[in-house]
Amino acid sequence: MHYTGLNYIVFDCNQSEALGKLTELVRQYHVIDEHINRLLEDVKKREKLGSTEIYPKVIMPHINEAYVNQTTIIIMRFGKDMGFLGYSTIRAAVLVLTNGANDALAEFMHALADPQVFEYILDLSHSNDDVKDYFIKGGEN
Amino acid sequence: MDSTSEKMIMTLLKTDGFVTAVDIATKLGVSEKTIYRKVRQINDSLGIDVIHSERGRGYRINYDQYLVATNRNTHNDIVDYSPVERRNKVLLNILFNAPFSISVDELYDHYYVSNDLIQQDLSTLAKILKDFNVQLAKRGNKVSVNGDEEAIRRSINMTLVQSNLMSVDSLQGFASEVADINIYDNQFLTAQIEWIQRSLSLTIPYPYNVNIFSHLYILIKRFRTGKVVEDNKAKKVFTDEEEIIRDNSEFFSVASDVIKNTSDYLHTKLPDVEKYYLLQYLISMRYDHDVTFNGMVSDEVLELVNLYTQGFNLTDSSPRIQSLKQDLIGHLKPMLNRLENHIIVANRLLNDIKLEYGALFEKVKSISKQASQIMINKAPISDDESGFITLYFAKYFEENRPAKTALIMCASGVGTSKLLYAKVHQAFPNLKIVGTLSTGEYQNNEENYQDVDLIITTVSIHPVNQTRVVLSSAMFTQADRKSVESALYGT
Repeated sequence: MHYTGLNYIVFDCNQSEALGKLTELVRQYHVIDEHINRLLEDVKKREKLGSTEIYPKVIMPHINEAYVNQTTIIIMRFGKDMGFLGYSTIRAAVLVLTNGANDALAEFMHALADPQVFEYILDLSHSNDDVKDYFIKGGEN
Repeated sequence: MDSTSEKMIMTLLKTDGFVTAVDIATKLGVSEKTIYRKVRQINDSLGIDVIHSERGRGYRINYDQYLVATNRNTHNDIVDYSPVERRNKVLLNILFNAPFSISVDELYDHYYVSNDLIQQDLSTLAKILKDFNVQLAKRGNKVSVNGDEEAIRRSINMTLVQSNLMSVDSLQGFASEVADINIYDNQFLTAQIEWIQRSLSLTIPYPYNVNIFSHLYILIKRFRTGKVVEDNKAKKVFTDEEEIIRDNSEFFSVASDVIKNTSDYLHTKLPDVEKYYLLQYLISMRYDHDVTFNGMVSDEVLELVNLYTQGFNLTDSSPRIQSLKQDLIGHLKPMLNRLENHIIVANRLLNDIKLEYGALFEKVKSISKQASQIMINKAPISDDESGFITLYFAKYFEENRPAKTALIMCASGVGTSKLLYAKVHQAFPNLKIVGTLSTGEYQNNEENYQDVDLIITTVSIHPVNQTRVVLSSAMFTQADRKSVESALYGT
């Protein structure tokens, strides 16, 4: 199993700082340089079409837009149940930002079919760096 | 807490008023001094005086305080037995001891139930045993059973099955469920199964291995605990069944070896009929073998196979029908032996089979009922047996399903649809997934996907060409899976 070839950003946050931290990191790592204001708008638009809850208390908001510079997986860990993007009790969000499907992304999605991945993300004894390593090394931590 | 303290608490809990120390001591078979000491210990250990004493009246337990102190509703594992579990345990105790009687006090020593309940239990057990031609006799405080050995063993076997002791998938699973199999018995019985497999160069699969193991366990325990009388019926059975013995001489030779081993193990000469009883089990099992059944199958088996296949409207021109028939012959041939010899098999997968293949199981069950009415001198086909037969049809129908095609969709074509792809592929490996798309891509090229059987999507969509759509959560839950299955195969 390998889901490398993608950029990963992993961070934890509380409800009030979630969106601020997200846009700050997206800008800092040049995932999006222009139209950053459209990110949240597009993500919310997608959520309105149907739930992206992919595991109990884990959502996967995603956009496929030309203004995304590089395909990036952003894992937001909330530590406890909190409201986010219209959901009331969410523990983590796996945000997928891409400008087009690629093999690495398909591999990554395939890996998410295994519930162990979510257990790893939700387990707070694993640091953010551990989680990032877990994905880079392909679940071999 | 020690057993005397536990029994003492249970005695007090069953009594509304006071009980004297003398009465408790007599009932428990200990001294009065022990009772005084135990009361102190119990109150100390619970941190509150749950047992109160009054001079001249004795002891009484405060139930509310007791519940608070122990913070649980039941006192120990023994009182946790359900009425059925309790009755089954009592029944096994009586049956294994047959024809010797056993006192009611001894039978119910650990259950802490009232006399009325004991009488109800015994009345229920008498009714159950009557169906097996075994009589429950009660004389004074003693209980025993009367019946021929075959009937007693059949009753024991039925009780083991109903106690779920045989709903395990391995010999060691059975051994660990049955509390009184010691390590030596376990080793000996396991060695006998291996002996049979080695001698016949075959592997005995579940549940037949567990069945033979339990048969030998019952045999050992009957000779050890009760008294086995070789009655005239048993002697007659052995002489009447010469033909079966001749037709299965290889199996009979192995059965004879195992009974000889068991005689040596028990230091008791076992009657010859035991060889025949074991032979019944050996010819009633389905085993892994290379034999093809052409020309070796009785008309009775073939008629039964045809009854099942015709019940599903399958004809000789149906695809892969011969393969299904071979599978059914392999199962039904030994099943008829089981029915004839009243050998019960437990199917630990039965609940799963009913859940997964509900309609299929009901159909098989109705054909089994029809078959049972036609068959003479055989036990009816049980749900457990019908469950096994269902699996052959489930395999057949799944393998013969025409390949269906599906398209997976989400808003972007790169998010939940990709994840859904992996999950759908895992759940339906035979489903041909022609692509993962965004709704926009689909709407722009809808004419390219007219032949697709099903669209599985995480966002709502209404195809112009009326292709069937299943709206699924990204988690692809069991309910989503059922929806897809229903849309694809109409189950």
